[in-house]
Amino acid sequence: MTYVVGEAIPATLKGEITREQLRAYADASGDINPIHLNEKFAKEAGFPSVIAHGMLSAAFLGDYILEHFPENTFRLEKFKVRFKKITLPGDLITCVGKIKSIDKERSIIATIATTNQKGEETTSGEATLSTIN
Amino acid sequence: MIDQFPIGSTLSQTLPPIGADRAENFRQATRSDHSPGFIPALPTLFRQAEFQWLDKLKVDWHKLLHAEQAYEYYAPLPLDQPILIESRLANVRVRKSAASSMTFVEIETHISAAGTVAVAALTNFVVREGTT
Repeated sequence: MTYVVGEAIPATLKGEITREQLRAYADASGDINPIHLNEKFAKEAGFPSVIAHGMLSAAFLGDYILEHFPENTFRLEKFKVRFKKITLPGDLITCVGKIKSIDKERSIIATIATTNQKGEETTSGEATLSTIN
Repeated sequence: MIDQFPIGSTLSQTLPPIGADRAENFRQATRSDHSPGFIPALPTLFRQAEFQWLDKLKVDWHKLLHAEQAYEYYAPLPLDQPILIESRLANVRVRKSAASSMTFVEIETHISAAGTVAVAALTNFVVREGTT
């Protein structure tokens, strides 16, 4: 697999965020913050409804990296995400990315992001990968 | 929130082995097509020591935002071993205006198994107070 600086990594549609998924994620991850599960609490906190866990989007991006940089060829060294906008139930999330740099040691830095159906970046970040010889 | 921040202090916690079943539940909840052997964005249960910090700082969870999360991976994190989590309160900054304040909390976490640090994590929270 060969990448070129500036090349887009094919997008992956993760689908619509549902309240059932937020419950499943809360149970699996241990994140039971009511802002993700309880409408009343979320509205008291100033949001229009429950909001998706930021780490759910981070998990989507982690999976996106593994999809395009398989573990038998690449080793993920660093992974960083910044939560920029809230994600609500009903939002359609897509993972996108681009090759930012490749050094002479064949270490790759990829910029990654989740976007919603309006094309807004909800999470952005970077992944640093080394190539396994 | 409290007024005095114990910056540099560390809280630790030992988790029982995560186990393949729980990892599989996580894989399904995140709609992953990959085996649950390696999880780049770790489940929140690895962050309980961070949450202990938020409780110690008396953070109102209504006002809390998770701003940034970063990981460095040093070794595989086994699913069948107890996990030691050590979270250090790295920094707290308060930015105030006339009507509001924002507190930036930075926590560094080391996640180890069998005496080896497998993952280092850096978490940034923002606590909004007032009309922000």
